[in-house]
Amino acid sequence: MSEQSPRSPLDSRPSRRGLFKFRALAVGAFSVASLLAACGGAGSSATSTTGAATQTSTGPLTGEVKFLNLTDWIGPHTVEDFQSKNPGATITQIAEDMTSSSGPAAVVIQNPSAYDMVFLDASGLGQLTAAGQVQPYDTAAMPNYSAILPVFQKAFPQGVPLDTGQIGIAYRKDKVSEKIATWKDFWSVVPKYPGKTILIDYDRDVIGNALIMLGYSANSTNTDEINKAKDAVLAIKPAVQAFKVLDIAKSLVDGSAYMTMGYDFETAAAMEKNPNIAWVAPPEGLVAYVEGWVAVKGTQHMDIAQSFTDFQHSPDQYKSFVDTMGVPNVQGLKQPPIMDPVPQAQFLQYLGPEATQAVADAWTQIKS
Amino acid sequence: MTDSSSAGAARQRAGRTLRWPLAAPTLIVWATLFAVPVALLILFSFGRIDPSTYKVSFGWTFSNYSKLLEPVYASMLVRSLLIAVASAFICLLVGFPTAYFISRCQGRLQQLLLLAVIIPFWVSFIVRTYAWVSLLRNGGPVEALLRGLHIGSGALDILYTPGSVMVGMVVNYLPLMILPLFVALERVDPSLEFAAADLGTPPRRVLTRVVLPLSVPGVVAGVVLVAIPAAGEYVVPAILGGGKTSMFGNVIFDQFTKTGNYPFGAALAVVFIAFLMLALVLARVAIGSREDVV
Repeated sequence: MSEQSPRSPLDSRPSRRGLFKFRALAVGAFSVASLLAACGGAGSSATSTTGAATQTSTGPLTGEVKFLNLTDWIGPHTVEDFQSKNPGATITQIAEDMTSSSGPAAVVIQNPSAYDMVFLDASGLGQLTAAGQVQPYDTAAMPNYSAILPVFQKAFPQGVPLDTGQIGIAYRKDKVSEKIATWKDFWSVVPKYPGKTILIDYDRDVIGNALIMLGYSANSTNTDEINKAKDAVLAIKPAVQAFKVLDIAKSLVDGSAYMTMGYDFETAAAMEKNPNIAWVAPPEGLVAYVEGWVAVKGTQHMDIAQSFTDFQHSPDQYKSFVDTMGVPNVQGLKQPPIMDPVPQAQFLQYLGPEATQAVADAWTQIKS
Repeated sequence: MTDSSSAGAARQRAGRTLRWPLAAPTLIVWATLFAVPVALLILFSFGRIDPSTYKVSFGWTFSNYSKLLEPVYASMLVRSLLIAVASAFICLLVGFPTAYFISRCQGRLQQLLLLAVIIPFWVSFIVRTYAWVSLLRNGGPVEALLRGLHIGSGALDILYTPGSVMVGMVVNYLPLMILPLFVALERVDPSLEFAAADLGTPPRRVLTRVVLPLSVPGVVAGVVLVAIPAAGEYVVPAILGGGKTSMFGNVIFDQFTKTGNYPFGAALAVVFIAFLMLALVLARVAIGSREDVV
């Protein structure tokens, strides 16, 4: 195991999905701005770079790979470095909306020829696989694939995992007098502190943890159970301050929130800033995810996709990615203990079309 | 037939002949960028999606429209329309005196004030909205101001409430109310106000009997410009509402980008367009023949 360098301050870290949320809003706002004909330019949806070449045993790589990815969810120099080594290859990143479990996969399924690669969680990968739109990697030809822990390789079949994480409870010990050790504790304490709880703005994470609180699996496909989970979330919603993808842990640090259902890595960074913040991985279970890169079936540039994916997992590039993002890694690099997966973690999987729709409907009602 | 009348008839014939070729570029742009997309939207709204493959099939089903009758969607539609009306009303209350004041200023001061109204548009809509997160948060300037005015104590928790959403709507759309009001009010001849005052009309009656009736076109234009985009707003509720209270625009956005249900998203959009068109028609009826501003 190699050591990570000291992490950057909390404020400097991009939030998982958060950066994209901002971009997604910007893209969406563009239509509003168009209507107003005056609201100032919101963002465009794509970031792209051009570049250079690479050399492999099979000859130089040439062509463009269109990569549907979370904004900046990549090593800070990975694209430039890859292109400088492969002057004929171009990686064009397209901003992805990963603020729901089914969104990015649905986008690719509906228009597969528009993309060569996509960043998905395991649930999205299952969705894409069920639709027959995954082009498996030849991992035997990827020297750096072996650096990935087998547990994550297995959890992300046909794709290449990039990072992982858990969604648990974080709270301010100096503000909340009750002890919070389980999800039931969390659900009972939230109403006692109106407007002081933040829930993550991601359907499967919230509904999944509600399912666990009720004694079900986070991957339940039972519509009745999903609806019960929805009702449980709705029951505490009046006391919830916000559903957020940005600055969840920051709200704990500054005291504007006392409790959150949030990411382990964000909380780990927040705990460095404020020792009164506690992290709870409930013994009955908590939602976890593994996410990574997937090649889209029919891509004309599988050679570039494979080489680029392997390049991201080369020691320097991967360390740079993990250090910059501060996320739990899949290569077994040293990290704060709370970022190590706990045995009771329930990794999200694809639920199938009916249950996926049921979750989407439940989420719409929760957010309405 | 005289020479002049025959020349006029020739001009009319030439005009009729050239009418379509001259209009063709505009019609092509209109058809490509408006008519065809709307037609596709309507077509998709009667489609059906395979939840496994996300492929859309067109079986002319009304199920997407019947789903709209579910309480969750109906309530969001009503909420969106109410918020839009409320936003427009508050913008009118704030914007009218502002526009009136600017219209009665002269020269450079008037230009400076107009510039102050327009400058926020130079900043991205999202950035402006996020700026209000800092202003409205606990311990922020707005809370400090309210405390200074002895309005509340302790943490006021303004952010992520319906009130903060309304603040965001009003501050973002207020210029769209002020500008048409200013145009309408500037056209009101001040001598009419002086004449009414000379005849002994109190200032309040001058306002209600002279200025307001003459500024109705600006009022209607401002209300339409604010209410229509406000009804479809989804950025402000997401940022300043804490994502707790979705509007109709949020649901449409989600159907296209998150759940991938294009047919249902299209049905939502079609119904929403229909409601907004109805509002425009009513606005046009309200303004009657005063001026063609809607």
